[in-house]
Amino acid sequence: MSALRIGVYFCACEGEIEKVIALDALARETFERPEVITHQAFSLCSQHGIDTIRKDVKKFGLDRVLIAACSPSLKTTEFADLGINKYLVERVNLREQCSRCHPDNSENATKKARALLEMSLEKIRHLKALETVLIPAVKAALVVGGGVAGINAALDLAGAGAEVFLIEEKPFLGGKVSDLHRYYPRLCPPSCGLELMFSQLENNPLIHVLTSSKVEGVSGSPGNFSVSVRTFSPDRADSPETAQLRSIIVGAVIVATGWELFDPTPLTGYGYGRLEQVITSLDFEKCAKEQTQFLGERKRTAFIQCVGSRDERHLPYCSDVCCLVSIKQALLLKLANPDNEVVIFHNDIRAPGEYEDLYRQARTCGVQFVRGIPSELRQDTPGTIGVSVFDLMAGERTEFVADLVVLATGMKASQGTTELKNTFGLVTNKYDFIESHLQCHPQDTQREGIFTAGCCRAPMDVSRSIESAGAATAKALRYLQGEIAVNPDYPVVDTLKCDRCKRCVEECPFKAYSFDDEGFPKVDILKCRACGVCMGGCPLGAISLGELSIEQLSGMLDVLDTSYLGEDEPIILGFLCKNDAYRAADDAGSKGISYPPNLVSIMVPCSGAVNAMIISEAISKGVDGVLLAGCADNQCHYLQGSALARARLADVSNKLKEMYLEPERVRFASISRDDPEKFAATVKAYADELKQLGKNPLRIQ
Amino acid sequence: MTLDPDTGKAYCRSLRDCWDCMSCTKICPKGAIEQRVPYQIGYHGAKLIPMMGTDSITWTCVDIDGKVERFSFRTRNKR
Repeated sequence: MSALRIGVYFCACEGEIEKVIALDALARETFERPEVITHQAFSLCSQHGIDTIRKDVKKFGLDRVLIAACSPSLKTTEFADLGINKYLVERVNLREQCSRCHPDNSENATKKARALLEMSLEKIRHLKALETVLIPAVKAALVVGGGVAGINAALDLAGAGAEVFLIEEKPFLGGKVSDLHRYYPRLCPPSCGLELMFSQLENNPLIHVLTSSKVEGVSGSPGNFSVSVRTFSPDRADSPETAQLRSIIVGAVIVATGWELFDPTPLTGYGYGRLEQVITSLDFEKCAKEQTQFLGERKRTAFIQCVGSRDERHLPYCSDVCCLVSIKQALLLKLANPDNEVVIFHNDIRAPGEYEDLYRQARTCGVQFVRGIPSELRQDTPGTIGVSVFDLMAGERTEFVADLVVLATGMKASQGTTELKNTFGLVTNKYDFIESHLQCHPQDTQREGIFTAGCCRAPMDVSRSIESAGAATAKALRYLQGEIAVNPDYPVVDTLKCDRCKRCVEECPFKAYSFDDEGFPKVDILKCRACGVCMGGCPLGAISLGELSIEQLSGMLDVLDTSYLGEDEPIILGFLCKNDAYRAADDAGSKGISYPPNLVSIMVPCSGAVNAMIISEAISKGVDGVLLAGCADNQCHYLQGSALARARLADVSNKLKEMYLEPERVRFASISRDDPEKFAATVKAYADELKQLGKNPLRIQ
Repeated sequence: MTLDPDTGKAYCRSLRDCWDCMSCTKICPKGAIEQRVPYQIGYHGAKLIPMMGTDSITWTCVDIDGKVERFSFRTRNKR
């Protein structure tokens, strides 16, 4: 280790950092180390600054480069190529988390900068040169579900040059769309688009359509999934044993298993299945499509919205499309025969964007909208249905006698989705739709290389389904380029330490772990998203990420001077999640929101990556308080990282209580990326609280 | 220590065979195992509580009068 040559580069940031922090003194002290060369630059990210580093790397044969400048989340492109493996370059945040957040306390800002520098100089010794891993992948994709989303995904993928296997359980393609009479808002027939797509499917040699087929199992990794598909005869006369079973190798999978209509039979008040005049909106579409006189001959029609939807007992969510479907159907009735009387009974009408025009058009055509939903329907005379409702807008009871009642029932996850969930090990949300991180990665699933298109993710209309198919295709193409580049920041298991307890296998949110022949956990780097939840959970500290190891963290704790602000000031060690808390801390600096210099921070990929042993070690080594800051539970990009961090911290807290130490010495805080004020307030409140508690009894005198 | 096949949880199958080595107490990630200190070391009320770091261990010793002492040691866990 002593043979390492380290270049430490201090950036004055055009005077900004220099104004607050005594860079000269820090550079002098650092230069006293025999293995270190130092350089001070007016602006390190300028071409001159970068050239200087590159020349030094060559001239002095530097093994490591430490850049003491702005936040590591900034200027990543500028410092990406310094003539040395980029994983051997470390950054110290002297601007956002030192000079900018402690502008009025130059002395303490310099002390904190010194502590951060010491920690980074230790960390840098443990860095390893890493290279991107290239893994061969087949240029073929599997699309499960031959509805409008699946067909579009297949065409888009084939258009990008990938071979596509389109699997459909039914003997024909088209899904629910093939039952529809008209699309909204343009009121055009679905057959127009479908026929065009069918001919494109047929004429594209890259697309293989397998109808009456089911996915039975999957193995392998993204880039090389092996999927077994069983194909039945169209009449399903053959048994599963006799049906043809084939194995398909694909690089990525798009799940487009669609939706099913909520069955309104349990809502007995509406008499669905009992009263002939009561139908669902999907029945309406079929009738309108198959019976030429259906729309024109009808006289009085009532639409009842939200049947079973937004109801805790049935579908607790809004299905997004029912309002517009009813408006479309009401409009079709009016356009076919202006004498048709049409009333829509609703809670509220949801018609965003351009769809508002459709709503206005319906009103103009004479469709009546009544705010209020009947709880039951009655049949007073044969052939008619009486609808009685308290109209909330008019403030009185309204009666309507209908020849036809259409129940606008919601969408629920299909049987196929539930089956595939088990086959692919997918995760669903509380409404049984496949989900990963809705806001940031809507097309992703919790399994790498598998994406969703259409209504298997959430209720949506045709245009959004097609849009989601395009998005899923774009995501899938990463795995269909012939080879996949994997960042080397994935975890590595130290089998000498590992006792095969399986905790990492259980806790990995992405099921990236399996067991090798000797029973040790083995990570599939293609499935891993490098969140570090395994590293945080390993009871033996046997797992380390490529970029951040247990060894590095432990080394940093060894050199942390817990008295850098003097004996009476508490020291807080902050583990800040890269996505949120660390950026909020940077923002606090950038916005000039100051907080006490008592906090030194370490950036971690997720709060769930911090091992309880590291937290315990920090307390043992005299840190007064450990602040673990991550996202709110439902915002974590790695799904359960924050929740796991919280649970592990509770264990450490209990241990401290047993040890007659204050459990408040460890703390979790949910800090969102755009809340620097909360970050600053949390640090200040925690520093004050720790001051009240007094010095950590384990701090070395 | 062994695992109960029904609950999947660990238990001490033979108290009289336990050597009080505290390996299980030290390693339990949930801090769920407490050691009854042998009478030769301390009578009822005395406690020994370990807290593991990656390369250190901190012992908290509580005697029967409630007096607390803490000791931190380096371990050889680091490679």
